[in-house]
Amino acid sequence: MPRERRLKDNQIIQILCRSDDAVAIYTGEEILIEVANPAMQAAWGRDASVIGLTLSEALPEIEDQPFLGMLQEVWRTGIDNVGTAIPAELLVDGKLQHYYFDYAYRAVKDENGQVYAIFHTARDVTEKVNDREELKVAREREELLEREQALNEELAAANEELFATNEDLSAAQERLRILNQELEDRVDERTAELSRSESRLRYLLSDAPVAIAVLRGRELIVESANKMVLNAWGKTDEIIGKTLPEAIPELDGQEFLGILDAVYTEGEPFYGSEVKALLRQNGRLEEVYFNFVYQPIKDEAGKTNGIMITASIVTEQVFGRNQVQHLNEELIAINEELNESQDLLMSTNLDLKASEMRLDKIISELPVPVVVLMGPDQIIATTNEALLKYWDRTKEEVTGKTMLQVFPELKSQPYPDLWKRVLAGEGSVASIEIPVTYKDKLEGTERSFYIDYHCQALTDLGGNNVGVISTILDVTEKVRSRKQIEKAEAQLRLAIESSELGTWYIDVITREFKPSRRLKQIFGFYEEEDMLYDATTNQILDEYRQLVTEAVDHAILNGTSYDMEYPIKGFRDGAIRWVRATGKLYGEDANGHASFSGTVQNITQRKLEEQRKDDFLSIASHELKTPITTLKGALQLLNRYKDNLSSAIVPRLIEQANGSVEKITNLIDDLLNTTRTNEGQLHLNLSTFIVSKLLDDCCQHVRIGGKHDLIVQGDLQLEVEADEARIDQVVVNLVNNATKYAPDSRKIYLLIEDLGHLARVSVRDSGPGIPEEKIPHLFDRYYRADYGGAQYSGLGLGLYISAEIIKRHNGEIGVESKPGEGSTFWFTVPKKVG
Amino acid sequence: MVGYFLNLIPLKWAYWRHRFMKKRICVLEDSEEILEIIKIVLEDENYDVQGFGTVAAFMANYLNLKPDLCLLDVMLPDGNGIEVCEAIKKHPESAEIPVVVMTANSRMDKMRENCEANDFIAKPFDINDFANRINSLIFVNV
Repeated sequence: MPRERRLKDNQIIQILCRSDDAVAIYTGEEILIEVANPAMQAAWGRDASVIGLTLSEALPEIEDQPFLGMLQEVWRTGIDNVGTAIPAELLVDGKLQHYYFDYAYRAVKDENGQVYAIFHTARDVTEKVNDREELKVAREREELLEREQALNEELAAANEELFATNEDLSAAQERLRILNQELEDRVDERTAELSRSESRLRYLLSDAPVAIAVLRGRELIVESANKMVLNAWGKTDEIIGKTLPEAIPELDGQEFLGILDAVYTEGEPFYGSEVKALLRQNGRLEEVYFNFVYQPIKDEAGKTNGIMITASIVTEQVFGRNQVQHLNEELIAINEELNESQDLLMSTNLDLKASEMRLDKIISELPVPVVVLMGPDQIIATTNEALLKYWDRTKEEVTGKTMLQVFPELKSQPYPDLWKRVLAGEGSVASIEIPVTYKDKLEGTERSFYIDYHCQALTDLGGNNVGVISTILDVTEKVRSRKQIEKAEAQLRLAIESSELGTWYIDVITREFKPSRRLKQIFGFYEEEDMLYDATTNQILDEYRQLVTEAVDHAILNGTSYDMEYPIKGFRDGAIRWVRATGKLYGEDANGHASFSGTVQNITQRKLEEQRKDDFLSIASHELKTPITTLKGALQLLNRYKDNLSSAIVPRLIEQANGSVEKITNLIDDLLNTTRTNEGQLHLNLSTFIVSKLLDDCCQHVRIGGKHDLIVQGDLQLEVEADEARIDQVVVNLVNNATKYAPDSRKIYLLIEDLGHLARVSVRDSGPGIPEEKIPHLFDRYYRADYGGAQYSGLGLGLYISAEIIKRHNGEIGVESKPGEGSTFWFTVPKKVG
Repeated sequence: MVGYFLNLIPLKWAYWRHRFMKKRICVLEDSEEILEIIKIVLEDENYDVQGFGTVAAFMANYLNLKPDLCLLDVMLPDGNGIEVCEAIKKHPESAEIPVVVMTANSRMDKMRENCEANDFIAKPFDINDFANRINSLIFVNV
């Protein structure tokens, strides 16, 4: 419940008027000041006397300022007017000063919306604004300072550049100065040279054996004249500087001045030949003949400004010719006489000509190339169509020329010499199938020919050799094809020889049998012996003979060929050889002969190899079956004992199984080694080791077996660089052989020897020894000493592989053995590789 | 009377031997491992096995041993099993003894025709088949 207020309205007004903010209330269009509190008064710089005055009365200085208008606007429109930091100029302390005000003119309305008062509040924000202004100014100043600084720095940089450029400039200037100096020096030099050459020229000109004069200008001022020209003109050098007409008055009336003027005008040189001039020489007017040139001298613009005269006196020649003319006339008279005698000759000539023409005709129609060469130079006098075709030339190209002119390539060939000799009278030449080489007319490539050539001397009436006549027959084709056939035949012969084929030939009708030398050889005949056809069948081994003869008959009957392999027995030596024979029936050839012919090839080696390989394979499979049998047996027995694995027999069986697998592996390795050595793939792992140690460690299976003692002797320290595993293989092989083939030899000796740069190891037993005939084959592939009976187990590869290994080491392997005296197998290897 | 009995002794001896003693097999085989396997297999069948590695050794001893069967390998260091077979069959004292030839080489089939062996066994053999064949040959006579 609001209490009763104690203050009266005017007290309230008083209190409110004490606000620090300026407050004023106006009424009416004239803006009467109803209230203005002390703050407002202070702001205006007035006192309370302004209350009751209009604003313009109270503050006349605001007349030009917008406040009045704004207040009146508010009164009229009723719209408040509020502003911040509005500048105003007020008279304070007698001075017009700048102020800023935040102000509000608020329209006070009654219930009807009518404005009845304006409430004006204002705050003096001059200081604030000023501060703000100052701040803005200060900031701007700062910015300016910064920019100035930046500009300064740029300036400094630019200055440096400028300085640098300046330096460059002065350097360049210096260079320029130097260049200038050089240029001037050069110019000086050039000028000096020029004057030197000028004086040289002048000197030359003056003494030249040709008359030379230089005239300047249209007036033809004599600028220079050399001795010759002065002589010719009959003048001295006092004419220099005068015009030509002045210098040589007698020229007046002669053409020369006119010509000179024309040359000057046209700018074109004039050449005169044997022109007569009348010149005063030695007081007399003489006739002088000149060959001369008037050459216009032009300036840089191309305009003629002078003429150079060069002339030579030809007076004597002209006179001389006149004389000749005289003589000529005499000659003509003599000629007439001659002509008469010539007519006489002519008739004699005609007869000759006729016969010559006949000869020509005959020659030209010959289908054989013929050429007549006259004289020691072999001038081509007569040719015919056939010859021109052979030479690939036309008649015009060759007639009248020498042979060597047309065919210089013949120079290095025997023909020029041949012609000379025939011409010299050494007799005619006839050669068959001699070579000649011409160069192709257009391309210059060489064309070779073979020719039959006949050349004989041509004599005149007096019996003298005046030329040669040759006929040429082109036999190139014939010779070429013959040579081709010869070549083919030689190739065939070579092929047959290199294949070592024997060949044979039977004429079907005459039954003539022709065996080649090789065929006889294969059948075991001596070369000079006769071999009859029957031999070819008789010598076939019995079991094959029928087969072969049947096949041959079949081939003959049906005209087919046969191709068979069969063994034959040598005629002389009885040796069995295997041959492959082919034969075919050939029908009638060009001579009407039908023939049966074929080839025979000695395939014994191959057959033996095949047989050995077959045997080897069967032995190999047999050998493999032995350890496989053991393996299978052991495993099957193990199967029986599988519920009783602790039985004593089980370890033994397992051992057997393993041992068998080992054996199988080794056998297969041997087989592989054989193939590998064939292909040259045997790779050596080199190391340096002591030989005696290897021998001590190897062949444990033999030592354990207890049947043999291995005794190592010799150089026990010897070291060698080789593939240790492979050498071990070789030693094991040799020792195994000893145990196999000399089972009763208790002691087996292993001897090590130092042979300088080779090391030698030998394995010696005291067994039965090896027969001499078997020794060469011991190291052959698939070979076993008792081959036919197939009695010894093992593949027979051991020695072959050992030999290959030793060979790979660049060593040697061999055996010394006599039946009953035991065997020593030895091998050597280089102590160091390479 | 004693003489009568004495005459009987060889017969009885044979009979006793035949009935009560182990059967004996002589084996000619140069591979010691195979010989061992054969021994184990045949001893399992209750045979007495005597093995020889060379023809010479075999020929020297087999007659004395009076085997009930001879088992021969073919490829030997000093001879040929086929020849041994022929020798056994030719000898009057051993002509009746069954001979079995073991062969690993099938090419030897040709040889079969020349030889009078009672049976051929190919290597590698199945041990059961092997045993059966031996058994059947020995006990055929019984």
